[in-house]
Amino acid sequence: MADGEFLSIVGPSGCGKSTLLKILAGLMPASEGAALLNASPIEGPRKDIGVVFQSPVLFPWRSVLGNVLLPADVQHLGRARMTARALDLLALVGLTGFEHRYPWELSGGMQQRVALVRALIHDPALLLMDEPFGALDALTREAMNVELQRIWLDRRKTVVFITHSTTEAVFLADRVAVMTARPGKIGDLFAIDLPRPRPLDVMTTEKFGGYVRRVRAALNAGGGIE
Amino acid sequence: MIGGPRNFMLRLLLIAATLAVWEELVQFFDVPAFILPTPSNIFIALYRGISSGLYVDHLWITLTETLLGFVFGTALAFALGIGVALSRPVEYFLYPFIVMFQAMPKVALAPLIIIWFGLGLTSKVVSAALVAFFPLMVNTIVGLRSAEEDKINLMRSLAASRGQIFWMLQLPNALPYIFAGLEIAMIFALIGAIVAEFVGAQSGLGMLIESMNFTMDVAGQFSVLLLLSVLGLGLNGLVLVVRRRVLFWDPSQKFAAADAARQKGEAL
Repeated sequence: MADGEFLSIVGPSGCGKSTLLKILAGLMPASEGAALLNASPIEGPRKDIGVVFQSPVLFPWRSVLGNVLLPADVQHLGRARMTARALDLLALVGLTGFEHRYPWELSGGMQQRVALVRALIHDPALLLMDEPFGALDALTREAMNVELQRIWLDRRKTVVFITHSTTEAVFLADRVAVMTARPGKIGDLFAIDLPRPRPLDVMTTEKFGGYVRRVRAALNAGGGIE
Repeated sequence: MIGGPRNFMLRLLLIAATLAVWEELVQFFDVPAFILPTPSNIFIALYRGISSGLYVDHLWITLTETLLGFVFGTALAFALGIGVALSRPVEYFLYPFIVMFQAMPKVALAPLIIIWFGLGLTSKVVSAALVAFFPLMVNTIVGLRSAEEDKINLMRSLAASRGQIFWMLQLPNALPYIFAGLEIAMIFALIGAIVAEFVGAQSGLGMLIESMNFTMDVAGQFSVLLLLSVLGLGLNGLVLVVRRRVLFWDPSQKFAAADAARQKGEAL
């Protein structure tokens, strides 16, 4: 993967998407082969990786700011400097004024944005996202996609984005990888050549539809959708 | 919604009516005072006991026993609970002892405890501590193990150490369970102290009930029971106040945890 690239991975349930992400996050060892980040192998949890899970995974006893600063606390990064950064990032996702609220006071979409800020706070080289918007309703999900693109254009992280949704994958990614089940491996790779920033309207264009059809066809060929 | 000043008045009225009916029935059927005293006699006994300073002295003793037993019992339970929850070997080797003691009615040990620790304060504290021990230990273990896998994975993905996972995740996550355990432990400590006083003591409200029983002072016994209820409520309130401060972030979960713990804690 290139530095600053946005890679989406789509695949049927049980094809090993989440396993791949766990390997990349250093949460489990690869059975064979190795994952490399900046030429060094991922052999365990690393401090230069940020992860966004399917659910927000916020700590209810920490305020929004406290949750966002969790990586800073774990890695002893200095609260003062990190707080300034946290407030910047919270502003970027439109959560200014919510710093001292608690997770139960936020909607699902807001909670997931907090989780996104938390994953970015320690300025990781790689951002891993495991179906981060899967639990949100369709409208919120689209809004979050637009927002994620805006943040990505602003910060230019290398992102691995795992999803079930072919439209979401095409909308966000520079390249879409299709995974196949048993054995779980990356099959086809599609480069998405659409100008950025992409508005939601892009989904109605012929070119976008073409990409989605080809990704879906690759999924079907891999036995993904009956 | 039930509540409001009108229903509150109705509630008071119901209590007053119950007491009035009780009073009338006892007088109408001429029930002897050593079987069932009238409410007015109970309140007179309560007033005399308190104004003479007798109840206050004994209350103070029982309160001291209960609180000391609570502190020692829960401190030990917390430490052992952490050990069992975090270390498989500790769990493996302690498990037979835990199961055996948990199945045993702890109050049945009271006579032995009196033999070992005498008639004074120590035996009451030991009894209270023993009874208070299990609800908190069980809840500490369950609470520390209740951290969701996603949260553990998040901490691990940040390269958190085991100590950090404990302090930043597992311990705060266990607090609703721990407080539910503390709540039960407090009431259990009171029970443990009273039972030990029944078996053998020179002072305390439990001893007072025993001695009133010998003299057939049933109104006095009722008045001490009333006092014990108030003491229990006060002690429970103490834990609730602390819990509300610490667990401000947990409006819903604590009730569920408390219910679950209460069911577990029924093995007295």
